[in-house]
Amino acid sequence: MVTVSKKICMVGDFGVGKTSLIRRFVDREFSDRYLSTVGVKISRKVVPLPPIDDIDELKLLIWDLEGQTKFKAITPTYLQGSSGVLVVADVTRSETISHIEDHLQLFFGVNPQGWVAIALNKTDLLDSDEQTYLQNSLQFNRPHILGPYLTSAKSGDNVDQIFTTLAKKMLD
Amino acid sequence: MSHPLKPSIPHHLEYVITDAEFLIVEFSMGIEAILDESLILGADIRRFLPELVGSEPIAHQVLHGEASHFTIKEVAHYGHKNSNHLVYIDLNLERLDLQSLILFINDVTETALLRQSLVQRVNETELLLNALKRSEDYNRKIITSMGDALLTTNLSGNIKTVNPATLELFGYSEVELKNQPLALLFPDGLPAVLEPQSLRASAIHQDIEVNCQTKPGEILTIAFSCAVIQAQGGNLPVAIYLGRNITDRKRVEQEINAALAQEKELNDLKSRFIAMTSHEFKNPLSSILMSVELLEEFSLTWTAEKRLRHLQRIRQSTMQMNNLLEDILVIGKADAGKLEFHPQPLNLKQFCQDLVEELQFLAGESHEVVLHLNGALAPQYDLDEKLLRHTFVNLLSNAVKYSPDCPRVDFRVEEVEQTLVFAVQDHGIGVPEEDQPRLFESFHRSRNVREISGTGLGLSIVKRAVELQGGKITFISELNVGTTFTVFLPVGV
Repeated sequence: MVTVSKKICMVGDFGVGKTSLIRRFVDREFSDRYLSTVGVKISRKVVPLPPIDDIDELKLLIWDLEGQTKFKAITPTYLQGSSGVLVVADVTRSETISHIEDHLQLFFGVNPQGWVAIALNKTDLLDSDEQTYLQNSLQFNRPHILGPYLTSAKSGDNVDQIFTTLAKKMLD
Repeated sequence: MSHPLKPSIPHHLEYVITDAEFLIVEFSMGIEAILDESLILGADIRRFLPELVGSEPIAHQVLHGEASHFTIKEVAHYGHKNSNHLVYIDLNLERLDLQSLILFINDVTETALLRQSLVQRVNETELLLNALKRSEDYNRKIITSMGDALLTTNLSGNIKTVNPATLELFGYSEVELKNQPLALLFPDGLPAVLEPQSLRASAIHQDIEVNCQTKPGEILTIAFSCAVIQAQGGNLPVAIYLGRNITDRKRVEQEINAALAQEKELNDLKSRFIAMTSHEFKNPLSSILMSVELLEEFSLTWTAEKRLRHLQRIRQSTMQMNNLLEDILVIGKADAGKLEFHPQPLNLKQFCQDLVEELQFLAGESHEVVLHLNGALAPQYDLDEKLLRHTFVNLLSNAVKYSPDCPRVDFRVEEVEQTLVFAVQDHGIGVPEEDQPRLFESFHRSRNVREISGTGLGLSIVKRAVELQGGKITFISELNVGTTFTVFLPVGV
């Protein structure tokens, strides 16, 4: 039985749903109540893998980082040792989407070989037209970037998929 | 066994010393209380502090002096044994010697929780403001892009806000309208129905159609929906006006109504025409038929004089019908726009004299038609003889016809300031006041004509003929006193 541990960080502006995505992925729960995260909180989740190579399971250590605000930037030291990050934006707040590029630069500055998955979260608040527009207007065709995924911590849409896809990429 | 460097570590700092593989070598006394764990010497520190997983490469760098230290601040740590035990700790990894690392652990729970409540409040406010801004932006975009005019005023009727559609519709700039009375947009002041005070009585007033005036002075018909709302808080009530320009719609409506009225008028005209013709043709036809039947039956026994009388009656009836048909043809031509004005040099004096002579002949002994040529007339005028005949044959024969008891008819002709003025005056039955406005309508006959036969076409022909010549016709009339028609024609060169 071979278990591999990998650290991934959740990065994004405050209130975009980083903690909610983790709660959905790890605890299968969701709450509408906003509770701000300070510092860092680490969650664990074992991701079973299909029988490939010699690894049986992957233990994900998910670092939920305090969101970026006008007053506080993301502390780069948290990103050290992280093979991947999940950059999260809130589809209802355009400024959080425009900050994605800043978060990408921050992460690749610390870990140039890491992998990034982009989550456009809270898509349950958009209608189908808006979702299609968003999907078509945002493209990140660059190496080591996955997505963007239209996620919803509330409905669970694409949540498991984005975490497991990122995890598998980190093992390659 | 105590580490050789330990004495130099201040007492208030909690720490764990590990080897290069993160195996615990030593730890301070207070560390177990902070982490709510029982640490075991020789065990992997990552078992108690999984936060260190992934930091092995950095730890390696620290151990080999490639990095001075590694710090993670405000880590939310849940106890291994008790998952409700939450502490916030600062972790600071430094090199102790070539084989050992020292991890300082500082309990910052108190400040972290304080900061959490602060950040919570700030972020909630920020999210709220953001949502508010988005909602305001959304509403503003709707108001800005809407095609209908939207205005708000205070209760005194002074404009507070306007949308771009309002500015475009009325041609004012925002500065020109703000704080100005709403009455500015109306040609005769603010209509009472739109006064903010009167709007307060009930909730929403819809489709109030009023005339408005744009800055360039154009009159528009606007349908307003209005309401007075009480904004929350201590703000005073505000009147809201939503206006839609329905000028074009109104114009189309008016055109349709006019077309319908014209259609109705034509129908009436047709009915009058049928009634008149059937009546006017029936009498002479009956006369002819009767005379013909009598002649067939009795011509052999009658005297020549009696036969002639019946033949004359037939001729008269035929002429009557012929005249009627002539009139109808003239009106028909005028309606079809085929009656045309062809001026030719004309000796007016001679024309008038011939005309009066002709009319006098037709009138017989019972009437006297007197021609007055006042002042000097030019030897020739450019006039349309045919139209002149239509005009004055009708006027003069009417004058004779409608004055059965007063034999004199005056026909005055003169030139006054480049205008030929013709006056036909009789002293007959006159036109009742209520019939005067419709005097020139086809088939309209005054109520006092009694048994005097006529078609109601003569004056209609006269008016059209005069207008075709670029002139105008007026009349004054008094019941049982008489009527004077005056025709003004511009002098042709």
